[in-house]
Amino acid sequence: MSAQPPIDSMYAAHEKVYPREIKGRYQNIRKLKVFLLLGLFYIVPWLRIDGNPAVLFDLPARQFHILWLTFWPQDFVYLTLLLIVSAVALFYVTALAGRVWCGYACPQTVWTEVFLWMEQWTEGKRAKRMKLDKGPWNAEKILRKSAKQVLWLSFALWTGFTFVGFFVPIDDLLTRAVAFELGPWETFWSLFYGFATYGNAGFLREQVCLYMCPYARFQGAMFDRETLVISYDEARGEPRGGRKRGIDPKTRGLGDCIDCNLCVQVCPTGIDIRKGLQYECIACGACIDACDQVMDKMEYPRGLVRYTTENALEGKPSRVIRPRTILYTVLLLALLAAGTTGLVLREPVRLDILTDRNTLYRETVEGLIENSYTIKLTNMSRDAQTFVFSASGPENVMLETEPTEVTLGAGETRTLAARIQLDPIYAQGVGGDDVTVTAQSVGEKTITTSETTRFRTPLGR
Amino acid sequence: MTSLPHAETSVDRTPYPPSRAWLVGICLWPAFLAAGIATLLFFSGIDPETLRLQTVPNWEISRTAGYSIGFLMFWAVAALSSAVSVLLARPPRA
Repeated sequence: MSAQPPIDSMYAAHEKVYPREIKGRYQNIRKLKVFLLLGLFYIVPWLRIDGNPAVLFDLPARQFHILWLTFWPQDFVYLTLLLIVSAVALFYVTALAGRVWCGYACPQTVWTEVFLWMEQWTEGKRAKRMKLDKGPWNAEKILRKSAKQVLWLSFALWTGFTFVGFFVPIDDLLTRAVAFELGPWETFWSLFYGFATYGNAGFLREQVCLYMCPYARFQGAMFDRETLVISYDEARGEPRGGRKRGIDPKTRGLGDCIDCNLCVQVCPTGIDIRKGLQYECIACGACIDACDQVMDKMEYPRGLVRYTTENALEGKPSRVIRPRTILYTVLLLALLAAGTTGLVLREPVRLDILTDRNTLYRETVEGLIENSYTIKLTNMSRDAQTFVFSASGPENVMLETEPTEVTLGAGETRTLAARIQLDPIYAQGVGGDDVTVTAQSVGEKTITTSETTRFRTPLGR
Repeated sequence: MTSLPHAETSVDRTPYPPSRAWLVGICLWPAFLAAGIATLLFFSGIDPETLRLQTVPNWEISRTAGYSIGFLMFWAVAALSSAVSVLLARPPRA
């Protein structure tokens, strides 16, 4: 009987990746993006407009404040729209430029970058880190490792705290945190988010992209032959091999790749870009920067590893405008237009009319038909407003509210009792008529809204 | 990912036989994402305060607690569903 191959022969056990630090164009862009995006994350909760937080997802009050806009649960459609726009934009960018999201904008890679910096400050460069991990637990190792943990943990805690600061005014949160007076849920979510940051950016790192990220698995579907990808120019590089500087590789039958393995050592996901595009590649460009450095040293032209398209590699022209990108452009513009129009036309007042369920109608001593309602009015504008009410529909329909006018502060909701009366001679429909109730601000006449409700009358009249 | 240019088959990174940590991970993580979406959809339409008033008006549960409990419940249920999927996807043990 022939020997069975071991069942796990195709499976590569996880090996810790020690990305080698590298400088270059793309790493500069990445660094800039880290400062920009994390800067936004850590600073935005502290920003204030007119004394109020500029961005606050006030879940306890069920209001989202974003700059000058306030969103309510009934504005959920905008959040949905925002998510759809983000998804389409992601597909669009992927079709055009591959995984730039992964390389430059994804919180996972951005935070991982910062955790890597802290690891380098405390444990040194790649070779030193590898040696340290292999070596015995001596005083230096303990010192360096604990210094890293202190940095990581403090940064993670601050991150968790900042995260909660998007939902609770952060200066108030800080005051209470310092006094150890945080509520149980604030504490829980701070620690939860902090722990997630520590685990994902400190320990899991590239494994999040490899094992956990759904986008990594389906992004390939958006790729075509015109998509910008990081690629090794096989035709130029092969056959690879070592050589001395200043020797013309052609005389040795070699390509431009000197097989220095730097592109592999700098890769944060531990792949060899020369094996072709792989789903592990997060398009960070570290291998491009590494290879460009080597090409400069060898005095070869740059770009043996570069951003290019499959067509360009084969010497065919690349097109940016193609059916796929046109479709995404149209879709994106339509969604953005719809969202903006909706936002501009959004009424700053909301009116709900609830019919009294206990009695259908009653007759007053004057012989009028009367229905009772509860009116719920929300002032979604930024200033206090005084509202009055009116009704229209059947002729001579009368509306009485209790109180007759109501003053609401910004974001305030009030329920008030209302009665609609109608002389039965004006009733038109069988069993009821539609009545439109309008609320209008006394100060700003443009702030108004209407809601139609059913006015029930006796049957058989 | 059929259309990838000159892509070589990378090594299979799915551990086999799957470790316990791996199984727990693939139950909890997709469930976490699903719970996030469910929480967003559910609580954008329903105020936890209304729920509380209609069910346990005598208990003091803040909105923040309501959202959190809701999220954790969604997570638990989704994780249960993941766990059953994992169980069924594995060959039955004799």
